[in-house]
Amino acid sequence: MNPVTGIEIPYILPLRAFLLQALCLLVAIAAESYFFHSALKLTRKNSIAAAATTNLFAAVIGWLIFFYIAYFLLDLIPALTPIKHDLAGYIFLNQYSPLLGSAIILVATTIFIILLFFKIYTIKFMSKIQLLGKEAVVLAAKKRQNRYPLHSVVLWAHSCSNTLILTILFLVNWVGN
Amino acid sequence: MKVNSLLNRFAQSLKPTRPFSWETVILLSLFSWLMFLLTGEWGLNSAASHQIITVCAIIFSLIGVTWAQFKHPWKILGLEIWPGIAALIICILLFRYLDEWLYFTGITWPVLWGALAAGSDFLKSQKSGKKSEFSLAEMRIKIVIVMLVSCLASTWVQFAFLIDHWTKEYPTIIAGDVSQSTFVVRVNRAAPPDTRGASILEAMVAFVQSEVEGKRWQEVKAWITKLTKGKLESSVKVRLPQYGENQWWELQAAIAQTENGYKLELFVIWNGPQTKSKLDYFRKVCEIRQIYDRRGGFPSNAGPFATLECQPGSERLSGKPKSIYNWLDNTKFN
Repeated sequence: MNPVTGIEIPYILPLRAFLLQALCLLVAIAAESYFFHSALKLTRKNSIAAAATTNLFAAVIGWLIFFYIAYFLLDLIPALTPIKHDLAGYIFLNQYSPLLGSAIILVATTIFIILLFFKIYTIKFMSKIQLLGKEAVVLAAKKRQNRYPLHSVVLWAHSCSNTLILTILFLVNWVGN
Repeated sequence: MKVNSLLNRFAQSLKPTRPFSWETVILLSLFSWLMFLLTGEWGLNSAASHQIITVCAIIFSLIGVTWAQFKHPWKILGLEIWPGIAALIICILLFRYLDEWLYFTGITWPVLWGALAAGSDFLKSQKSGKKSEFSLAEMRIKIVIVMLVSCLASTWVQFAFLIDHWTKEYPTIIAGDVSQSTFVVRVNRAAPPDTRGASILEAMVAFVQSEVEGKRWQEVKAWITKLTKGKLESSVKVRLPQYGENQWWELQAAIAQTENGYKLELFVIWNGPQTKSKLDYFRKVCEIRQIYDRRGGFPSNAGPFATLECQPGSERLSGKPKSIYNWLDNTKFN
């Protein structure tokens, strides 16, 4: 039996990152489920389920990609080493270089577009396998004329939630300083 | 007589009501743990019987705790906690021999917890017989969300380990003030001592010493003439532990010729990110002198030799490093 030794209390824990992500996820889920409920005419429960599934799924995949980059890619490609150092400075001291700033803007824009398509296809898939209630709500949109198309609803919901998240991040940075 | 009856009552209270119940399994697991301790005391740690007893103890605890919690679940905020306990015991069973058991347990525990919770929900709904289409879809979505949340918790643990990994790679940043960070907080009040600058200075002195001490004066002179800042930096950094923050340390030296040798001022300058907008540096003054009588009994006609003497290094200084001597790059000695 391995004795409980070798546990060092770490000096630094990313607790603020956890809180921040939890807050952002809650806000995004609330905002998007409002759109799904009012424009897609899903039930409240199902709209929250759709928003929660897409956002959580995106968060988990995003973390995995980040770990791949942070553990392997940054050490594998020597040209990326400055970014690694900048990233460490940003995470620990909240100071970013121009290089990292432009990288963040580029990556964030790309993620925004990718996530939009990801969410559209996830919701389509969920309604196809009837996870969102018995009536295949979303795909049956054409039958009733007063519904908005799925793409534009998801675009609205996604942009709205991301705007809120961006606002939160700005506020956190300003209040923190 | 009294003691006897007390013992009797104790034994009665331990005795399971039925043979086939969770109390039996818990007693079995307790017995196995007792045997585990005893065989461990007898020094049989590597014996096969000890290993088997250990596995039995863990499995009995797993079954007993899970069974007991199934019957009388403990709840926190309406959530049953037995999947967490069971998942923890499974993690111990799986990873106890690994060196990185803490890491594997950390990232596996949340996922296992979620899987057990989702699985038990599914089984319960099957048992209770509600099989309408709607409740099944609800069940599916619940399982999906529970699994996603547990995966998210697992990635959080992984992120904590990544941060821990990086604290080892960037010790100087960690020793500073991290209160501005949006991501991390300091949990351990006792910050690690910030000795990186001093140790790099020591490495620098050791490098110069290896090049100078006991060498012939002509060689040393030639070496100093050819020495450039880049050469100094690269050959000292090879000797340092390969941390990611090494590139933020700038090594510099200033040299002046005296009648008896050289004055050498060594600087280690921190160029990395820091909370206050100033440079930090460490400084050490050394002297390379000619000596004619080398210890070890060489004849004095072998020519002058060089020796290195250093004063103690400075504390952390702030501002821009200044020197009255010539900086290394723009000087040429003959």
